[in-house]
Amino acid sequence: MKNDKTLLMNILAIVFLALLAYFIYAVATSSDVGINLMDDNVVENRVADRYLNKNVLDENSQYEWGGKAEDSAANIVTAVLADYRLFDTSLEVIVLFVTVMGFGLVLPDERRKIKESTQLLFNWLPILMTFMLLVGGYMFINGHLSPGGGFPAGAIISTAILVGILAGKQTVSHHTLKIVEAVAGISIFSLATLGFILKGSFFINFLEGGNIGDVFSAGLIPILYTLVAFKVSAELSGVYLEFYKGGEEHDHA
Amino acid sequence: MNSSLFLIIIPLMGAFIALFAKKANRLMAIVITLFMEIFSIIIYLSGKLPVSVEIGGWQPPYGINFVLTPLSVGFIILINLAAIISLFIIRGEKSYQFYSTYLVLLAASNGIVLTGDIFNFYIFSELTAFGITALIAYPKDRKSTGAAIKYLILASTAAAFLLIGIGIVYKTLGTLNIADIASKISLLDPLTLELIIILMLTGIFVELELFPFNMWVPKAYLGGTASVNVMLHGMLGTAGAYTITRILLTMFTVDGSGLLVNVNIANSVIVIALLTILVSEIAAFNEKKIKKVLAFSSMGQMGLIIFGFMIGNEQAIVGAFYLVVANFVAKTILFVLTGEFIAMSGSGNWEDMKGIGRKHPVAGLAFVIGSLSLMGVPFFAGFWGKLGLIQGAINGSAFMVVGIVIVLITAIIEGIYFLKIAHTLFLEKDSDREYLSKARVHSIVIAAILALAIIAIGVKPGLIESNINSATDEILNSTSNYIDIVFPRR
Amino acid sequence: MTMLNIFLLSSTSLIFIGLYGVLTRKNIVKILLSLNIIETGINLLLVAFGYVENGEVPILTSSESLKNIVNMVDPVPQALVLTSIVIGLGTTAFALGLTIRYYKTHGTLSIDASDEEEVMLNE
Repeated sequence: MKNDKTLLMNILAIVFLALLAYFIYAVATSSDVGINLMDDNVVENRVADRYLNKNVLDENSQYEWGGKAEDSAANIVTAVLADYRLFDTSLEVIVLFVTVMGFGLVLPDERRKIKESTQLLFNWLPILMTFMLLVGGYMFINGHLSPGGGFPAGAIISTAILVGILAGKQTVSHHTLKIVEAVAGISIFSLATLGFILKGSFFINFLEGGNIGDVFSAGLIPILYTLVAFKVSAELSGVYLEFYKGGEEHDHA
Repeated sequence: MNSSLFLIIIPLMGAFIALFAKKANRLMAIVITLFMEIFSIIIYLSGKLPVSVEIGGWQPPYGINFVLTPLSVGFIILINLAAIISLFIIRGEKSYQFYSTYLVLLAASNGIVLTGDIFNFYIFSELTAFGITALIAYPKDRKSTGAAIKYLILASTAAAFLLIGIGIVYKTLGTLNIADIASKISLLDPLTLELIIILMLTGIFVELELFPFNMWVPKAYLGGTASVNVMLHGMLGTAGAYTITRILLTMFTVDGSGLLVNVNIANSVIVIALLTILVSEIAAFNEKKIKKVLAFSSMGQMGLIIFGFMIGNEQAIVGAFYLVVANFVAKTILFVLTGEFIAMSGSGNWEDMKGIGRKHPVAGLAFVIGSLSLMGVPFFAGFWGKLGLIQGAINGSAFMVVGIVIVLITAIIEGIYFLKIAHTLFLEKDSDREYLSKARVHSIVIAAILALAIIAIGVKPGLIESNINSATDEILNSTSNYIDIVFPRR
Repeated sequence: MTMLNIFLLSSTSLIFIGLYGVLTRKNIVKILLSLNIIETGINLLLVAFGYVENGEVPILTSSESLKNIVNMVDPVPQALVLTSIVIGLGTTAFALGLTIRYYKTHGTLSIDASDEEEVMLNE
C-alpha cells in the first residue's frame, strides 16, 4: 500500500515536471512579438549599464582610471552590492542573524566536549590561524578592488575559529561573539542613520570617494565590509560553538 | 519623507539590543511597536502621501526605493496594530530569542508592504518566513517542530520560484523596480510574460494560504502560541493581502486598470481561490480543535479576498478591502479570545469550553460578534465586504455566478459551525466546573474594543469609506497613482 | 550550441532534479539536499542571465579595462547571487537545526511522521 503511494507520487512528480519542462521549452522557442526569454543579452538596455559607466546621478559624466567617480569602487559587483543596493546587503546580514539565532533556539541541549586532537595540529594551530585570519582580513579590506568582500571574509575568519575548535582550543567565548554580533549590527544601521542625519538619505555613502583603484577609496564600502565580516564571522562561529559544551549560557527563562 | 525608513531601522536595531536587554526586552518591544504604530499614523495623516523615497540617494530604477501611498501606509497601520495586540497577549515568553525574532519579523512585514523593488521584496519575504518559522518552533515540542519545518521547506521552495521569476524579469526587462517593470510589461512576449506571472504567483501563493499550498496553515496555527497566531494572521496575512494588490494588480495589469494582463491566469486564480474557500470551509466544519477551525476559516477568508481582487471591477475591489479590514479585526478578536479560552479550559477542543461565555459574558459576546462579522451578517463589518464582492461578481462575466453561489453556500457553512461554537460557549451549562486559570482582563478589553469597531463599521461603513475608496482608486488607476509617483518625469 | 545555452540547460536540469527530489523524497535531510540543489541551479541560472559571450570580469584593474566596459558581463545578477547564496546558507542552517530537533521529538526523519501523529490524536 505504502509502495503504491510512493510510486504514484513519483509518477505525478514526473508528469508535473515534464509539463513544466514543455512549457519552458515553448516559452524559449516562442516567436511572438516582444522581448523573448532567449533574446540576446543586451547590457545597454539594463540598469547595469549605468552602474558600469558610473553615471547614475549624472548621465553625461565620464571617469578614468585613477580618477574620481560617483562610486569609486573598482569592483563593480561590490559597487552594486555595497553601494547602489546597500539596503539589500544590510538585510542579508539580518537574514543570517535571524536564521543563526533560530538555529541556536531549536538545537537540543546536548553538547559535546571540546577534545584535544593530535599534538601536531595543536602546535601548528597558531600558524594556521594566523594565515587564515590574514587571508580573511585581506579579503574584506580589498573587497572594493578585487573579488571578495565581507561575506567570504567572514566565512574564512569563522573557519579559522572552527579549526581552533577541532584542534581542541576554544579561542572565543560565546558571550564575546554575541557582543561582536550586536555591536557590528548596530554599527551598520547607525552608519545608515548617520547618512540620514548628514545627507538626508538613509544608507547613503557619505564619505569622500577617493580615486578608483586606491585602497582608501569607495567611501564607506571598506568600513561596511569590515563590519559585515566581523558580524558574519561571529554568527558562523556561533553555529559551530552551539554544538560544544560551555559554548552557551542558555537563558532558561 | 525620508524618515519613513525608521520603520525598518528602529526594530532591526532593537533586535540587536534585545540580545542584552534581559528582562526589559518585552517592554522594549512594546515601546518600539507603539512608536511604529504612532509613526505610521502620523505619516498617514501628514498629507504628504503619496511619495516615493529613494534609499541611499540613488534615483529609482537604479537604487532601491520605498513607495508610500495611502494604500501601503494603511496596511502598515493594520500590521503594527496586530503586532501591538500580539505583544499584549504574550504569556510568559521571556527569552531574548523570542523578542529579537519578533522585532525582525516586525521590520520585515513592514518592509514587504513599503518596498518598491522586487528583489528587496524577495529578501523581506524570506525574512518574514524565517522569523515566523522561529516563532512557531519556539515551544520546541512535537507539534511546533513539525509545523515549523514543513513551513520552512514550503516557503523556501516557493521563494525559489519567486527568485527564478525575478531573474527572468531582469533578463528580459533589465530592471528590478516594480514601477519600472509595470510600465514596461507590455513590451514582453506573451508566453514569456505568462511564465513570469506563473513563477511569481507560485512564489506568493504559500504566504497567501491558497489551496494546493496551504497544508502548512492549520499545523502552524496549532503549533504556535496565541500571540504567534495573531502575528501569523494579522502581520503575515495582512502583508500577504497587500502582496496580491502590488505584485498582481500593479505589476501585471493592462494599462494599470486593475485587470490582470492574462485572462487565462486571472480565471485560474479565481478557480483556485474558490476551491480554497470550498475546501477550507468544509474542512473547518468537521474540525474539533478550535484553533484549526480558525485556521481553516482564515484560509477561506483569504480566498474570498483574492476572489474579490481578481474580479477586478470597482465594487469587487471595494468589497475586498472591506473584507481585509473586517477579517483582520474579527479574526484578531477570535485568536485573542481563543488563547484565553484554551488556557482556561486546558483543552484545545471547543466542545470542552462549555459555559465560558456565561462566566465571561463580554468575552463571549465579542466572540459571537467576531463570528457574525466573518459570516457576513448585516450590521457587521464583514457584510459590506461580501456585499461588494457579490455586486462586483454580478457585473463580471457569466462564470462569476458560480463564485456567487460558492460564496453564499460557504457563508452558510461558516454560520453553522460558528453558531455551534457560540452555542457551546453560552447555552450548555457546566456550572461546577473549575477553570485552570482566570481570563486576563486586558485580553477581554482588547477583544471588546475590536468588537465595538466591527459594529461601528457595520452600522456606519462611511467611517472608513473614504480610505477604502482612495485605496481602490489607487489600484484601478495604478499608472497615475503608482508609476508616476516613482518616475515623475516620464 | 553556445556557452550560454549550455549554462541555461545545465542550470534548469539542476532545478528540475532538485524539484523532483523535493516532491518525492520523504527523508527531511534528502529534501533539504534537494532544496540546496535547486538553489545551486538558480544561482547558476542567474549568472547565466548576465553572461556575455567572450565578456570580461566587471572589475576595473587598469586604464586598459576601462575601454572594455561595453564588453563586461552584467554585474547585477552576480550581486543578486551573492545575496541568494547567503539566504540559501541561512535556510540550510536553520532547517538542519530544526531537523535535529525533529529527530529528537519524533524519533524519525520521515516528513510524514507529524501527519501520522495527528491522525492518532483525532481518533
